[in-house]
Amino acid sequence: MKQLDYDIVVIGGGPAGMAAALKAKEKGATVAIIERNDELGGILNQCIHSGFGLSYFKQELTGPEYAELFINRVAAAGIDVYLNTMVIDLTPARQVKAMNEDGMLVLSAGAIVLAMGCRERTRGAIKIPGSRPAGVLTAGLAQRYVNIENRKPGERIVILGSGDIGLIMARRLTLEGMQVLGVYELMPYANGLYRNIKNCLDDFDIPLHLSTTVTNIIGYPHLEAVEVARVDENLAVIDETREVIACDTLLLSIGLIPENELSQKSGVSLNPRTNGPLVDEDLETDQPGIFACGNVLHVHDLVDNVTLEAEQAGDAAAAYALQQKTAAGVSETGSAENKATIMIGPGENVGYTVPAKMTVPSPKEIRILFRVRRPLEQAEVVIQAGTKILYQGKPRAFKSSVMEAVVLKPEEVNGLNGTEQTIIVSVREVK
Amino acid sequence: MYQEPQEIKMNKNVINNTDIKVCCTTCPKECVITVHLKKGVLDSVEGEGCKRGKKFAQKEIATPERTLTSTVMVECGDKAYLLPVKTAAPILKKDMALAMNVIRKTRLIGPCLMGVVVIPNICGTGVDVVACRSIKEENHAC
Repeated sequence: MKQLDYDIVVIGGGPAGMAAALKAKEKGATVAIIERNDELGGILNQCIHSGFGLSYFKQELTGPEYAELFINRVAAAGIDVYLNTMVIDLTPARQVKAMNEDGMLVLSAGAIVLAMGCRERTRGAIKIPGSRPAGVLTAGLAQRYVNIENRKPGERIVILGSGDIGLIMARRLTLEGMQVLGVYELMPYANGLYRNIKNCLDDFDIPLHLSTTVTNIIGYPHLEAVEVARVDENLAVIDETREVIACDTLLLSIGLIPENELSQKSGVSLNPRTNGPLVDEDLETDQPGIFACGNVLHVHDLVDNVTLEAEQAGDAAAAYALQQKTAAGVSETGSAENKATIMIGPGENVGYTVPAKMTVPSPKEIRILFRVRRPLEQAEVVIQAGTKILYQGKPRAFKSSVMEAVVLKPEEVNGLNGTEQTIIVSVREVK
Repeated sequence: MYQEPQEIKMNKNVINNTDIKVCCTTCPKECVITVHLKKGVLDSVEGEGCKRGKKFAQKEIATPERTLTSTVMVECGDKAYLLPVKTAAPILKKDMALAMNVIRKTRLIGPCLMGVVVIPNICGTGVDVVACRSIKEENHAC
């Protein structure tokens, strides 16, 4: 068994893992990235559409371009990359057990960055009735088939769910000559970014059916048809609207789940609202020295935001590891007894917040990310601790497909006392 | 391997209304811009967050453009790879179907670097189709 030592071990070599590794390396840490795939880049490699990098690189890039810019930086920085390597265990003492063709590896790390990303929800997650034929697959799998493996999923396609990957695949399959019959969405609003509704559906006259869902899967051993039906305001199926649509492929674009089995092995607590680790303002989990960023922490809609978040995690992880090394045996510097932890949580219309807690007094500003639960036409962000309002935004529209960010300055939070106060982020409708 | 392409449906831009709502896709802000028309002629633009938005809205109602992305087969030794490609600049939306027919028939030989021109001046648009990544023999083959 090979034994290795690093200041930072990053698990996952997608956009989050690469950005975290680069930042940690820049801070002087020794860094390894462990990636289970045969190349770095993660899901970006199959996202051949453009729209990436608008804020981080100030230009419009495709997924593979965004990935390659980072892959080149990783190669130039002198970061050790282990490809085709699967992490099978992570301990609270920050020991990583991994496996590849050469056998077992044990890596001891000063700090860990979790960057394993997320996976797609499947048919089982929403329990669609019917037979279990071939031809029912997730949108991201279809994307890999078409863009990397050169395989065609089918001829007549129905898409369930209006998530971004489903919308992008509607366009992609149409351009490759397949017939996309329609996109069906249970909710009365679309879940994807508006730019994707417009550029992927409207441009190609692909209908989007809101408040409609798939109620039966028909055919065996291959899919022959799906039954769709409208739902009422309580999401209950309206029987008389049932309709059978002949198709050979059903793509599911019904949400993403952060992939945290490994995090849980190391004892990291998860936030039930995000299914990602509970983190503080440094993106550190409740296991000291284990940090998280990217889609393993919470599902993002823009990779540019993932990169920024990962840089923050890489920076904090390097600071932790290097401090542990120089002050070996010495307990945390500074006056810990004067510090307090304040919980941060969602209020009205808000699904979750990241981070979920912070330490005061804080020397730096704190960026709170959150998402609204449903679209709101006129609403304002209100962040408060007890009755004290820390931040109030201007009224505007909010969409659940767009992640929101508010930055609080140190002077806005440092007067708070953690024993009695929680910061609540709400988005209140303005009539 | 894909079959021969079928006809691709593209919608026509309807511009006989007096107000058209355009969602700007220049940046992630997604401003909804209202274009006011008088007798089918552009009169004014409202709701744009910046200058780029105004330009986008004007173009969107008359000659909408899109960046087209797809893949091209690359043969490298005895292995084959899908190379992601894009138009180096947006092309007219109406030219997308024609451009796809050309992209789909294109085959390349040997390793390539990100940014190289794969198809120059596609369909006479004046825009090149370029490689979106480098392909080396050790990369993932299809």
